[in-house]
Amino acid sequence: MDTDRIEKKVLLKASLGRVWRALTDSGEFGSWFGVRFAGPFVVGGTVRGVIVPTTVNAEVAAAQKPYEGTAFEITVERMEAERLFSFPLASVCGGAGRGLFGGADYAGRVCARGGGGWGDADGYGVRVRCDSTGAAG
Amino acid sequence: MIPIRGSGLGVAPSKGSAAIFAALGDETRLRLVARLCHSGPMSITRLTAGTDITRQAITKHLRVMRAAGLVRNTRHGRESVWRLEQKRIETARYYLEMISRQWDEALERLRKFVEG
Repeated sequence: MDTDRIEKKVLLKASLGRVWRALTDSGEFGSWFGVRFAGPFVVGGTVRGVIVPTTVNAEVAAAQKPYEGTAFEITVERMEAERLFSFPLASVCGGAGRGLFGGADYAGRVCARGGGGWGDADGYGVRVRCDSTGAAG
Repeated sequence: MIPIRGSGLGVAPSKGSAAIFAALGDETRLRLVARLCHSGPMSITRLTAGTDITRQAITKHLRVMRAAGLVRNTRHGRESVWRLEQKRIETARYYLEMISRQWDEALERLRKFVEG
């Protein structure tokens, strides 16, 4: 039974700097994710935002449309330059964004971690993990 | 990176799924679930056998999981026999699958964004 974590790995054909910016620049994160944040991501800081349809996928954008304007927030936990970006799910779910998530009740944190030996010269590996134990692995 | 309801299946988590995941958010409890899953209903004595966890600790964990509706116990003489509530486990699995799918979609959007 694998009920303790969800782990995804993806190899992106882009430079490390490009991927890092897409994750940690709140404006860029919002573009693909579908949120407009009121400010930048800062470690320990809570950024509020609202759902806006993503610009990346028309179908997803249509699905997000009914939720447009719904409050959403993230408290950034760790941001280690081009290595690890994480925020606990509880910071999102416990705040105004509660109920927006398919897994709103899934305690844990989201970690985006790069490299780790499986990225290569052609791209940059990102591992995201949603973990019920809450360990920033 | 987090799946949002608007991005996927549009299904809200049921009330009480918080309790399920909190109850499973512990290594010992996950191990208890795994054992009950593989070996079927058993007493605390059998659950404790071969582990370095005390009977009291196991009892405490089982009670947390019972409160979340994941396990239940029935009395057999002096012993309690514990078993999984299959339906609740399936509910937990369903949400995980849903979140998992939404992650795939979110990462696909990230890919388009940085590779595009």
